[in-house]
Amino acid sequence: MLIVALFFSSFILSLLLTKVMIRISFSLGLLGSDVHKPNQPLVPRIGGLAVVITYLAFSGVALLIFKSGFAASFLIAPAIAAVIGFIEDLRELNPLLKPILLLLPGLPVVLLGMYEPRPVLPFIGQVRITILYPLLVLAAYTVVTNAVNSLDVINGSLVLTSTPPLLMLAGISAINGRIDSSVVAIILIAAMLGFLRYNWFPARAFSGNAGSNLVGAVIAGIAVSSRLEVAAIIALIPHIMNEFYVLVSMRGLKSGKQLRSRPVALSGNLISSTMSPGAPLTIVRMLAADRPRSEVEIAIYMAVISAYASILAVLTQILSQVI
Amino acid sequence: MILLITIIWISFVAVLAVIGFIVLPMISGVYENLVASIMRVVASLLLFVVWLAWWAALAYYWFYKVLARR
Repeated sequence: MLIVALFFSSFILSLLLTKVMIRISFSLGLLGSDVHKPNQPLVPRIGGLAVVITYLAFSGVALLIFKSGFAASFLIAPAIAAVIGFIEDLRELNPLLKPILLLLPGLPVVLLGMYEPRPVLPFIGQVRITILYPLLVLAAYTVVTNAVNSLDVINGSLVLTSTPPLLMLAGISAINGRIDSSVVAIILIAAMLGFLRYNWFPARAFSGNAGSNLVGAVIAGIAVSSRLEVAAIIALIPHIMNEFYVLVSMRGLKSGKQLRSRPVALSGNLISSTMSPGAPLTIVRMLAADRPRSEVEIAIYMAVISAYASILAVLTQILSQVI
Repeated sequence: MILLITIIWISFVAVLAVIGFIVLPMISGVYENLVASIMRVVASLLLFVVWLAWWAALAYYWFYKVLARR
């Protein structure tokens, strides 16, 4: 009953706050152009702050109610990630500096020892990597936040691609007795669904880096604190694929402005892949490779592959426990 | 795309398992000489880098194959 109340409260608060953020964005001129529309309209780009505020408020309450000692993983780390994202929303960060800054959310988790350096690997079982694990925790935060951020490119894609991994983590955490992890995941899903009302095609608000960084940090926090590292990696295959292929095809960390050619082109309302070998290989480019697709079609396709990856993550988790 | 993700999933789990077996004596606390331990870590890293390269090549192969059909 309490979880249902937290879900609906988060959903409603996020819905109302997104409307407020839209007004603030317009009054401060914090707008970004929606490049996948023919007339490229200007859209408020700090809508994700509604998700950030809602999540931090309700997960703080939930952690008190459930007497969880994982405030560093579920509150401090996501808050740091969101602040870094918000700074990037206000002024562009150096593409080399950004991944270094995103190591910071992992610091309180490592310093307060909010992890168990014994991940469970499929076919192998529990392994002890005491020295390496804290470094992997720091790396996890920068990889996951960047990966989640990199898939926030289409109207609704952040919510649609992050909900399946969060649902998977919430389900397995609940089965493993980690109710606190499960509840924070549910609160985040509710906050994102409230925001989706304004982020769905045609978007009236973008999440911005603050919103996507928070989502990535929460996923990393749940994976580390609930010892679901491998399951989280599998569920995030589409996100990690996108980030990895962009890195490989652009030969390193570069900003969007350094692109020699764009990965997709717009013809009317349809998005199609460009043939240019110099363009980065992204998930959107891959999804539009066979034929031009509408933005809604691509967003739904992204949700389907994300849900499929989360099912594979559940299978991997079962394999890890059975074998 | 679903097939591509399935291939990546199978190969990732397989690589993880092989790396786990290679470094198992180290992580389970079995005493071994330093050279053997270093060789295990280097072999694991090498395997992971080869897998990453294969993963990138697979995506390019898949993408241009689909694009050619269009």
